Amino acid sequence: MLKREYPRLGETYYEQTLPNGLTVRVLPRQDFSKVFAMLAVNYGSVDTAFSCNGRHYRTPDGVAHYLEHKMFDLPEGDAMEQFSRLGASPNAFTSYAMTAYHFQTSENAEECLKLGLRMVLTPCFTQASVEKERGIIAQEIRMYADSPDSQVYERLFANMLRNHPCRVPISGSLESIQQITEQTLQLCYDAFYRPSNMILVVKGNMEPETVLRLAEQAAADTCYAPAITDYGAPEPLTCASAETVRQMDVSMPTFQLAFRCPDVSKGDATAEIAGDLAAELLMGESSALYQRLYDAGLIDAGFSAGYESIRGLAMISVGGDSRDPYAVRDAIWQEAERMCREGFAQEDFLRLKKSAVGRRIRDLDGFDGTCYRLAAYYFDGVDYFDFQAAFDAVTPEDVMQVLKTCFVPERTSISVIEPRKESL
Amino acid sequence: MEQRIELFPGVHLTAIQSDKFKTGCFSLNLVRPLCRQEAAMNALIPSVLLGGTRRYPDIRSISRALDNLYGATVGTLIRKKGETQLVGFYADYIEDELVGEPIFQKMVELLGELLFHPLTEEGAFLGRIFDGEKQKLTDAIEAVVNDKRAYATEQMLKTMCAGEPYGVPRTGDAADLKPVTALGLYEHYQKILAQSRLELFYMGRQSPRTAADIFANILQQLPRGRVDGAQRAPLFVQAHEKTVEKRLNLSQSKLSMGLRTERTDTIDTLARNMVMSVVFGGGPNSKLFRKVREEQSLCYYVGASFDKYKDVMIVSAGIDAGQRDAVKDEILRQLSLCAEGDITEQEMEVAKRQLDAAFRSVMDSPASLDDFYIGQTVLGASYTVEVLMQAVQRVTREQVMAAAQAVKPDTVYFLRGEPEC
Repeated sequence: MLKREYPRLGETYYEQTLPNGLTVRVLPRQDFSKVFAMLAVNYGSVDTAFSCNGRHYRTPDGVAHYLEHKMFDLPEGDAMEQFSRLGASPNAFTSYAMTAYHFQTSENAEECLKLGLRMVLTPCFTQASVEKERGIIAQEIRMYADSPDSQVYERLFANMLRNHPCRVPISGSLESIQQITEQTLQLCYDAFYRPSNMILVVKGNMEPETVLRLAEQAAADTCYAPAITDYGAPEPLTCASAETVRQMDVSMPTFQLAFRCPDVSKGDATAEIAGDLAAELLMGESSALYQRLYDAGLIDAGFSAGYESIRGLAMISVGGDSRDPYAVRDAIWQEAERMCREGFAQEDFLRLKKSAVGRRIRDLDGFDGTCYRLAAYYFDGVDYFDFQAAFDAVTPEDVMQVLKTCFVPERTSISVIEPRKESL
Repeated sequence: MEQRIELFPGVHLTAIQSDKFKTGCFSLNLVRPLCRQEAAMNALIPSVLLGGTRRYPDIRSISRALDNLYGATVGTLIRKKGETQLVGFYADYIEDELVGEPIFQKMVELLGELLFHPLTEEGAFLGRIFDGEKQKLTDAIEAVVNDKRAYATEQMLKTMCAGEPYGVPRTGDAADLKPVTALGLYEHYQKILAQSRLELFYMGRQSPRTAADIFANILQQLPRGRVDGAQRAPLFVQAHEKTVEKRLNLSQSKLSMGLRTERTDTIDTLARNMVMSVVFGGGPNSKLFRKVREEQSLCYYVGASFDKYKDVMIVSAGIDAGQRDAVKDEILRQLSLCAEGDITEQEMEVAKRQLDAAFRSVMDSPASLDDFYIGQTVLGASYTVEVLMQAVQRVTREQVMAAAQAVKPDTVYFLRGEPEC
């Protein structure tokens, strides 16, 4: 296996790509008693329209999430129960761009890894079990429908995007899941659950060679290319709509703002850093704007801003609770304009870099977060641990470019969840 | 593994040395009895202190200082453990070795600055900061309603424990916060700083002795009067069955049930109730998950949790409105199955495995270790995580039955969802 060392971070991992295309990464930590393993598939809720073997398919919303629920079925019973008997805590999640299955355990790590690999590489759905799951997923959709934090986000995307499949909630809708059958799941499984479309990341008390051996035994040798997603017409940088509001049982308005940024090419590690630094400079906790908004009672300690990208679709995302979310948005516009005119101090730029690098290094303590980031950045063509070099490469001009282009009305969309007029 | 060191009378440090992490951390906690008269004031203090100090007069300058310490974090802590309230600060920062600078020392100095040099005017907290933080805490208290599951539980506990300190929410109530003034809060703060037990927790690469010396050096500024070190056990009350329902615009109804367990004042009674609550309702192998969710599809989520600080078990479920009684009856039926001994060896083994894994997780997480050991100081218990783990492994089926038999249902709180369309 290839050994990758990052002395400045105090980190090492071992990597190999199998003949079938599965990439395996192991971060051995014999000083811990536990193991965390994540098997991630580069298939998310946005992958509803795709081409495979010369044919084009359009599937109902919510398939990736539905498939995630069903993966725990094995011919001999429920994998979750088997994991529990082995002493492990398994879980899974579906995001816009990825489905991930993971477990943490302090014993029987080899058995658990075997089980996890078998679970994901063994499709097992029957009409009856697919039917039964529909009710549970419907309840989950209802739960998110009641959650202001989920709604503010879903509505932002639905409203600001014209074509991009991020417009659709990850779990789909009560209507769309009615159209998902055993055949739909099998089709999407065959299209995307290819070892070449996956990465296995393991951190903890396990030998790299052991992990490799188990991975080799689990999957067939043939390397199949996965399906190719069709995102539809390119998404313009201008937002489809500037604003969306809904009333729910909240005590104060909660909001989510997006400032559209240029699409990120696969393999680009610096766009995110420049975007995060721009957000920190403009409205991070040590900024003049933050202090002003905080003192005016327009934001609280829950306010956050950062860069995010989903398969290349990029934006600076800002969220929080506020009596007047529009005032917050307007203040951000004004401050960006001022900063573009007057510039920012080199000292602030360097201080924020130092702080961001420090926090990234500390985050490496985590098991689930580290495995998740290694997987997610891998799918985006980026070596996550190489962030020091990426930080060094970002210049004040890069940050200024973000400030100049993204914080303008045409690139801005706001989603607000506000209290009902007559509630509580 | 951990050492408990007295820094001054009534001021203790629990310290664990470890090389496993890139992050060092500590917390400082003022220990107060949970009560209506003080809860809201105590909850307000940490964020007012964090609003500005003599050296760092606003959030902006505190943030800059933290940026320069490689992205260190300081945050407020407001914890409720049974009928004890603990308020203070936590800090996480990069270890000295990784950057070649004395970050830990500087973080403890910052802690001292926050505790001893808040911004004041005319003997009171600075108005600008006080007013802002009071409003934010009011907003936060009112926001509990946004998380319907947490809201249902909170309302259930308020009903169940109306006459007990446990019924007071972690941050106090908005009504108790209303009359608080900048002057009143400052005087209260000076009083509790002088009179309360202080519990600190440290985990990182420094030795316990070095950490203790650094803390003691900064904390010698503490004004110390007569310290109230009395250990107050929570009220132990008989169960009294009642049901409360409220209607809300929701897709999914929420059921919250409060039950009273036996007193868990020894490690063995604690261990058997922990196992019982997992067998009954803790996780995908529990009776509640397998029978009520999986087999009967009666809920999207259902689970039980046991509060060792008060000897109360709470069951929460997300259900359809029409299912209230069916779900409640089934939950109680599963409990009586435990009491009757309808528990397989496999259920016992899986529950113990789960608890074992949870303990191992705690041992790998500085924040969880902080919560455990600070919790031990509230319970007045001195056993380690490892010793508790062993006690849990010794629990027998008969002991779980006995624990289940002692459980008495108390309050049912139901948020009936009535969606608009």
